[in-house]
Amino acid sequence: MINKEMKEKTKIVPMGDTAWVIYWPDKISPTINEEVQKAAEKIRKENPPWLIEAVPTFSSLALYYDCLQFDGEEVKKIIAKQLKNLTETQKKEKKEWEIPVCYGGSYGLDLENLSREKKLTKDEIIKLHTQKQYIVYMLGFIPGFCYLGDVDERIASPRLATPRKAVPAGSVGIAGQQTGIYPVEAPGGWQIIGRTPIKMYNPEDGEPVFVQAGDYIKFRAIAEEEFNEWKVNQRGPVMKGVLKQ
Amino acid sequence: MTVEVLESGLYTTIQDKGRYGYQAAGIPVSGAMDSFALQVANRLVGNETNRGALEMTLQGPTLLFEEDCEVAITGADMTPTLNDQPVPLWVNLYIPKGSILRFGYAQKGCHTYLAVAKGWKVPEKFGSTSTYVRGAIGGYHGRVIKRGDILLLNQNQVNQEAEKKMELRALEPNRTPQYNNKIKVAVIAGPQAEYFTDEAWQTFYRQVYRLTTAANRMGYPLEPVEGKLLTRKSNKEMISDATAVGAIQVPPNGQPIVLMADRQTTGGYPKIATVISAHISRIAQAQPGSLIQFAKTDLSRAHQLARQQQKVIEEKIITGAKGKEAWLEQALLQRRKVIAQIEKRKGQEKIIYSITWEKENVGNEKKSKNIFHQKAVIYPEIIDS
Repeated sequence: MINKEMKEKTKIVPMGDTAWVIYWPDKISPTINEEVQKAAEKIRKENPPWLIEAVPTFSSLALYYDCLQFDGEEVKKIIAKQLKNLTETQKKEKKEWEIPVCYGGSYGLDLENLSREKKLTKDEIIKLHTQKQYIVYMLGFIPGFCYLGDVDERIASPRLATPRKAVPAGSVGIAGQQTGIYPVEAPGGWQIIGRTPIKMYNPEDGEPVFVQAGDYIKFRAIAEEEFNEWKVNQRGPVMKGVLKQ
Repeated sequence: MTVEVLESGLYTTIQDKGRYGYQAAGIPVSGAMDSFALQVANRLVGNETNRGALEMTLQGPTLLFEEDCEVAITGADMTPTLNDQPVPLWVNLYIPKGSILRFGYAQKGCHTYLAVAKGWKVPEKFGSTSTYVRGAIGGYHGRVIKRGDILLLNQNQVNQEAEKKMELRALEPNRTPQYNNKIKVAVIAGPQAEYFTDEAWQTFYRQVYRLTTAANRMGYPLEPVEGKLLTRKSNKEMISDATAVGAIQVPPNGQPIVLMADRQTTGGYPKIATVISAHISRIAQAQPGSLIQFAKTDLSRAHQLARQQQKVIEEKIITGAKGKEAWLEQALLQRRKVIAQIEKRKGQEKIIYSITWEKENVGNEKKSKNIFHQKAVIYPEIIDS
C-alpha cells in the first residue's frame, strides 16, 4: 500500500544545474525506500529524453538531466507529475541473493572485539548476522558497495574511531544498524567481521554489479576450506529466488 | 600506429565525457576534469566531442610518436615542445613520425588535454573510455600511464595525402580560457542548504578559500583563508544520498570539499551548494594554492551559461582561410614567436618553406623574417599551387 501522506511529504530540490533530487521523509525505513525504488523504476522505464540517469538512495532519488537541451524548471514539473501517479506503478522484480561469508580470524579482524563489547560469543554474533534477510537500501561509495539493513540491535555497532587505510575486497562489515560488503579494496571505518569469496564487482562482466537496490541479501557462514574452494572455482553469486511485489 | 611513453608525467589518464548509467551500481562517472578543454581538443582534430583524450595533471608526459599524427593540446599550459620547439595550445598540430612531444609543469591551470585525430585506441568499458583507477576500468588498462607504455592510435591506414591536406583549426583566440590563481565560481544553493546557519551562509559567500594539496580527481578540499568554518544548525547526521559534480560537501570540520570527476556516487556529508556546470572547468583548472570564491546564482542563469559554453565548443572553432589567421594569432598570443611551414607543389616537386613570425610583425609578411629550410617541420600550412 502506498502511503499517501508520505508521498505528499516529498520535496524536489536542485543539485546544481544538472540534477533534481526528490527527498522523501528523512528516515531509513523499508517503506520509504520502497517508494524510492518504485519512483526510480518508473522513471527509468519511461526513459524521458531529458534523463541521463536515476540514482536511488535510502530516502531520495537523484535524477540527472541534460541541461543543454532541456529546461530545468520544465523537467521539475514533469518529475512532480510522475510522482503523483506512483500508485499504478509496475511491480519491480526483486532478487534474493545468498552471500557466503567466512567469519572471524584474519578475515574478520573486528569480530573478537565485537564479541567482547557486545558480551556475545563469536558464534552468537555470526548467528545474529546470518539469520536475517537484509534489504539492499542503496549502492554507492565504491563500485558495488551495498548498504544493507537493518542488523539485529544486539550486534549494531559504531564505526571505528580511526578508519583503516585499506579494507580488503570482500570484507563484510557493520556500521550502526547497517551491514555491507567492500567490493574492492578501499579505506573504511566499518567493523569487519568476515569476508566473502564472491566478487561483488566484476569489471570483466557485462553487468559489473549483480545486486541492485531493492534486492535482498542473506549471509551464510562458511568454513575456510569452502572459502578457498569458492575462490579457486571463482564461483559467482547464488540467486535464491525472484520476488514479485 | 603507436605512441611510446618516454616519461609518464605526474598523473596521466585517458578521459572522455564520462561514464553514465552506472552510478546506481556505485560506479562513478569519471570523465575529464575540464570537459570544455576536452571537447575543444576533440573538435580541433575533427573528432566527435566525446572521444577520450590524454588528461595530464600538473606535470605532463614525454611521448614519442611512431607515426604521423594530427593532435591538439588544450587546457593548462605545460609548455609543450615538439622536438624541442615550443608549440601552441588551442590549435591543431601536425606531428611527423619520430617526433618527441614533451610536456613540462603547468604554468597556469592544472589539467591539459591531448586529443589525437580519430582518438586513442582503448576499449570502451560500460559505455566510456574514461579511466577510473580505483575500479581499474577504462583508459589504458584501467590505470595511469607509465614510462614504457605503448599507446595505440585509432587512425588506421595512413592516408598520406589526406594527412597533408590537414587544414589549420584554432579556437577563436578571444575565447581562450585565461587561467589564474584567483577563481570565482557560481553556485546554486543545496541540496542540504537548510543544514547551515545564516552565519555559515554569509561566510560561505564572503570568505576566500584556498585549494589544498590534497586535491585529486575525486575532490577538491578547500581551506578557509580567514579560518572561518561553516557551522551547521544541528549535529544531526544526514542520510547518505547521491552526489553530483561540483557538489560542495561540508564535513563536520566545517571545511568544504568540491566533488570532482571521480567523486563517490553517494555521500553522507551535507552539500551546502553545487558549482554550476559552466564553471566546473574553472575550478578543475585551479592549482593547489589557488584562491577560490563562491558566488550565488540561479538555475536559469546557470543554464544560460552552460549553453553559451556549448556554443563556443560548437561554433568557435575557426577553420578554412580564417582558421589560418586564428591559428597564427593563437600561437602568437601564447608563444610570441611562430614558425610555420609552407609547402608548395610544382608538379611532382615539393618545396618546403619555413617562416618565422615575430609578434610585432603579425599580419605583415613583408616585415617578417623569411627563413628557408629544407626540412623544418613544425607548423604545417599547405598551399596548393
